[in-house]
Amino acid sequence: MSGLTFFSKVPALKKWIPLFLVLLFFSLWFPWNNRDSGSVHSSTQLAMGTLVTISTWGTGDVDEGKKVARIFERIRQVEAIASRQDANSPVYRINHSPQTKHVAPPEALVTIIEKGLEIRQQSQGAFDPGLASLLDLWGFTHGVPEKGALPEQNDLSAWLEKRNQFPEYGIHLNKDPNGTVTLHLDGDVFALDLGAIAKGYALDQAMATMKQSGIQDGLIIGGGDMIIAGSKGGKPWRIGIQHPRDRDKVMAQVEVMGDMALATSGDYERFFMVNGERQHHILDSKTGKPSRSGLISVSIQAKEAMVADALSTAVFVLGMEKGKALIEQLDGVEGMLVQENGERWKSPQFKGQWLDEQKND
Amino acid sequence: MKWLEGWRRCTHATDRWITVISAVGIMGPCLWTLRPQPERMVIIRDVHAHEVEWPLNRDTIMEVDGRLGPVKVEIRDQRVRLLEFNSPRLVGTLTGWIDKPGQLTACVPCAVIVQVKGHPSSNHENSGHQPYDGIAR
Repeated sequence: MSGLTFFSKVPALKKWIPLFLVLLFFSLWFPWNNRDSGSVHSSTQLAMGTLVTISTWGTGDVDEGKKVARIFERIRQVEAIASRQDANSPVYRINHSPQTKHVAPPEALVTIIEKGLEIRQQSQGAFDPGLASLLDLWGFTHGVPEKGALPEQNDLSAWLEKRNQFPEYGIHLNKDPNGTVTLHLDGDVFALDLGAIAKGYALDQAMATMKQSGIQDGLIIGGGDMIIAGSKGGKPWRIGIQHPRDRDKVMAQVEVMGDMALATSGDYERFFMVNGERQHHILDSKTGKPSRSGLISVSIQAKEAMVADALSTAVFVLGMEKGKALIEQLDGVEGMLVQENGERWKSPQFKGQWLDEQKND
Repeated sequence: MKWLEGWRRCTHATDRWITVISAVGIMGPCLWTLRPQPERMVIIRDVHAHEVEWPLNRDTIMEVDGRLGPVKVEIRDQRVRLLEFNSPRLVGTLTGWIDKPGQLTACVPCAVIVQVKGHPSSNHENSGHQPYDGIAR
């Protein structure tokens, strides 16, 4: 009290009390605001033929580094199972002896194919995990062909004819009552390419590994698809969705706290031009050609990255109306769709907004 | 000389606390702003997953192992870039110079990654732009 008495006795100082209080506030707020409770630490490596970035919220100590190394290791384990280029992978072996009954394929592969077949059915064939031979015809085996050229029409027709010979879809996953799982393909025309779903599965596994290791806040990005957990010290993770026609621009922004996966499919990442026409890697099994549904970008939010990954491809092939219907039909799935003609749509619960709308708000 | 008289009588603990807190309130943010900044580094990762950290302020051209042959990385004027390389699409080379924390350029076919150490959110603090923790594409 005598301090205040002092001020009251010295009227010249009394008027400075508010200033002292402001300084007191800042002296406490500044160290609190800048306390070293954590920061984002990112590490990028090559895996699954693309760049994978793992960002974690934490102190960035040696222990955290070891945990991140284990997450990368888990991603490579999935890659070793699902890669169709690696001669030691189960997928390679299956593709090179399709009509053999493969007994007890790895559990991870069963999970991926099972989900792939489910989404294929839901999307009425728009998502197809058996397009390896068609992708090879188009030259999309490894990324983008060095010199993009259209495949011979005869080869495409032969592929379609071969496919149509089978009254049923030719990837068969059977589970016996005794628990034995068998997998076989009706022919090489159904050879597996899990590129549009296995990356999502790898991200799911990576996130599970991250959480098991004790890291609860992180973001794992694989080639533009991602899975998110927690927050950045109480602040949301901020994600941009690339503009489909301007690589340097972002068309929408997503701010997320909590668990969510986000996958985007577009005609702008892997493509080549022939006579002014974009030949991209999202192929429609009904035509044998790059999908011409009118959509140029599809972003899907779901709980699992595997689901988001496969559905983004499925919706891209389905087009605006059927794609919207599929998104609305599935629980916990949201979407943001952009058409070539500029028309666009996002489901009501999609977390995020168009940037131009944000500016107008 | 009421001021002087006042300061002479400023002997009680509360008065001293107010003086100290005021001083800290003024000096603290100033010292925080002027604190020494850590050296900006670039991380270069070769095909064997070996990582090299190099300060961005030390100009050099270094050659690292790539899957398709040696890859040159140039560091100059606090920036870094992949030099011309005969990869199919030259995406890494076309990216050009990078200099902001978290920015990355890579030659995927060569399996060489070059990244400025740090996280994009530190760009936000410095530039006022809205950075992203990730880009969905």
